[in-house]
Amino acid sequence: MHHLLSIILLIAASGIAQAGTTVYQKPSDFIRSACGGQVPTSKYLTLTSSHQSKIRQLMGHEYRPARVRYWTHNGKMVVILDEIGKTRPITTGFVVNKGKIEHVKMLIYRESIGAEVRRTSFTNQFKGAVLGTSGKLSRRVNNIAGATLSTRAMMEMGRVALYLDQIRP
Amino acid sequence: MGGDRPRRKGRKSRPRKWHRLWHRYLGAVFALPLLWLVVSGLLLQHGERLGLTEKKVSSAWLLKRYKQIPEGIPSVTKAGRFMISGWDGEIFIDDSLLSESGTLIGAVALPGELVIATEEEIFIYDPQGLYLDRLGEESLPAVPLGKVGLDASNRVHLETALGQHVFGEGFLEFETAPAEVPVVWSILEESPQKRAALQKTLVEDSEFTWSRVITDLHSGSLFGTVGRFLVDLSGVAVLVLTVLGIRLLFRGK
Repeated sequence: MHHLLSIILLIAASGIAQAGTTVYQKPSDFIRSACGGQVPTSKYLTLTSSHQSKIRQLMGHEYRPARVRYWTHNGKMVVILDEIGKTRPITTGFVVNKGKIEHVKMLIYRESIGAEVRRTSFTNQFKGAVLGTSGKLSRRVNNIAGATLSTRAMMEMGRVALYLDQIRP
Repeated sequence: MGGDRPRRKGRKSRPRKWHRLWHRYLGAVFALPLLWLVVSGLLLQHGERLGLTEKKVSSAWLLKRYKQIPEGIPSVTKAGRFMISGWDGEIFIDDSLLSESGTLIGAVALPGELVIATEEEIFIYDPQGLYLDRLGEESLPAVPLGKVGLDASNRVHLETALGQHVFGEGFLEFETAPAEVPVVWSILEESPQKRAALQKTLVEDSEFTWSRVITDLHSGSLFGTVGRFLVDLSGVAVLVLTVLGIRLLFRGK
């Protein structure tokens, strides 16, 4: 019986597929498109424990890494954030202008399902959103059926992007 | 009247015999797959109560089958007091697994920071292992990175297809490195003896739960097309066995 189970598992494992990584846009191209065709010198923000405490309210945990790089152009802040969807990080670019989300683009997706959140019909929902005093986005973002965790991750990153814009020098 | 009876019996006994035969053999052939479907179905149904959704797979053999443990040989390099290992995309500081991943190309230690370079990214940690910073392709001269090294002034150098570059303060900027500056490059070495320790770490840190294994076995998707076909066939067998069983029951009466 043990041998039979071993053989079954051996055959089974050969059929397991690994989730792939899809790059929809290179982060540098996203920054270029938001910064007039060039990548400005990056700046970074070191997240202190009080920052991380606020971020914990916004996304349920502290942000890693402790330094967040961002780029500025004509007063706009461009930031690229990572957040786990189900098991793998989703890399998303945000452009924040005067405390409002101006543009969102999912750049790299590594999960096997839920990539529908890259669609502009979804990301356009973030446009104009500000961070409310309760730590919620001012605009309602409708969930995508079958991509709940990815939707949640995108909303968490949206809240953090707005918060970073508030605390950057 | 009495002469009709044996003829009628003879006509009906043939299909009945055939039904019995098929019922018997189908039942025997599909007994094991059906038993497995029932048992695995029950396990899934009560998976949460049984802790299968939380219980991690700790079998190195099974994790290897699921490609959770790499096949190749780890590469290692020394950076300050740390031993950095890369094994099929997983990165380890000493024997601790990092959340960050990528193909390791080298690592260097600065006075207050540990710099780990993969082909596509650079990760920076403090001496306590706190993840400080990540440099993606948007902050690098080019990717893939070839080599990482240090000069006498503790400046980090990178070698890429675009040449050799050196980072400035805080890794915010880089410039073309002067050719005359000597650089000590980080060198990776294959270390088969490191395998056992890293495998132990991967098994201990595995997030792979038993419910995943049971789900895959129950649906047959774990076996690919063959598995799904077998599950379909078992379903059809249940239908056939039900029809044959009912017919035999009523004919018997």
